[in-house]
Amino acid sequence: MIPGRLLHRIAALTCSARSLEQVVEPAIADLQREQGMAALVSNYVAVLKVLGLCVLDISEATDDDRRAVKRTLAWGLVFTCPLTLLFVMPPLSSFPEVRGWFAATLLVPQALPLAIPIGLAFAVAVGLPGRPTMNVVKGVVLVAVGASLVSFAALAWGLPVGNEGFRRVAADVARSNGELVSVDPSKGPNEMWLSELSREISGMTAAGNHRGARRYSWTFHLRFTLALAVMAVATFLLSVPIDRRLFRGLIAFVTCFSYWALIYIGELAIRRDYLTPFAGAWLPNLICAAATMVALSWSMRPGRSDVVNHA
Amino acid sequence: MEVPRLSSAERLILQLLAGEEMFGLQLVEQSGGALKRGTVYVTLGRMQDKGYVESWTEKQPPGAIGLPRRLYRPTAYGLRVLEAWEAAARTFRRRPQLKPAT
Repeated sequence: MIPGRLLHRIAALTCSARSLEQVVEPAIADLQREQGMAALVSNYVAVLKVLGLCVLDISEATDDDRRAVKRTLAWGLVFTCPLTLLFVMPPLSSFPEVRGWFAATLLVPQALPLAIPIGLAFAVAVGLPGRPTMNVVKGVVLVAVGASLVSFAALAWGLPVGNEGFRRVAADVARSNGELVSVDPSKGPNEMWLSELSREISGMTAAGNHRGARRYSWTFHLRFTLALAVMAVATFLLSVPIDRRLFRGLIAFVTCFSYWALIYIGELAIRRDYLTPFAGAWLPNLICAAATMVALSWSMRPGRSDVVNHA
Repeated sequence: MEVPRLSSAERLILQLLAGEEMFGLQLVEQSGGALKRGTVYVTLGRMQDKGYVESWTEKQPPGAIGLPRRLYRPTAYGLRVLEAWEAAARTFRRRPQLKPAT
């Protein structure tokens, strides 16, 4: 199979004819001549970056723009890493007999989708200049898209594998301590793949177990919601026209706190039949999107300076 | 008349192409890391729009698979712009008193 064919098809759908001929195709042609896995992977990443730049139509970036985006990305990693460790702690502390880096690593996929949006929210608050240029905003949006893809991969594939692995490790440790544990403990919703969740929901609905079906359905939709949480939070913080980092940091804190509060409110509303599982799961993202529209229209009203510097 | 702008990446690309025509990836390798794989093609596209470089796809042998690679070389205009910027840089290096007072 020739590498880059799928990328070429995606580019043909998303880029202009000029960008395709002059920018994307040379990148793909060079990729197809690469030998070795490392060179191939780095060229794939480069072609994806080229695609992103073409689709977002990022104009010539200055050194200041590049530094601002790199600074935001660096702060994102600085915040996300300790947050991931923090979110790994509660399940580990629930099983004090389970120790070791391997067990902790199994819990990283369930911590990442929580840590990434909070990490990027504070990175946007701390890393960006007072009024970012349009190039910087587009660059941060690209970073948020990449972070969303990482979150989705963690939720769709990492979470079921990691949680199931941790459960088995905990069961083995309990068994070795002489406790009576089922040979093959059944999976809960957080150990299921998306396809398994979907089948379970259909089975429960057919069996008349609507309460269970609603709970599993909420878990199913929440995986997609949480994958987009980083986009929702980042675009809201980019739209808020506040120059001072301290105030932006406070707004980032309030935004993240409110987001997670809305997740719990959504779950409660589903349990009491006030909302459907779909509406309850998407509630935080919908409210974030509405808040973003309000912030943008407020910042762009006549007499108010633009939220971004169009330099 | 507006003086043509030349970013540091464009200057480096013109300097590298002044010696010989190259593919995009060769420019990245020759630059020693100064040019990035993800942005060199976008920069080359802009330089074509500005008229600094021209490009063409290589002739592929019959039966070759994959897209044809694109070769780049500077235009006469691009070389003139580079020459003008290098002359300006030499002038500033020769005359240290031209630096703004701090």
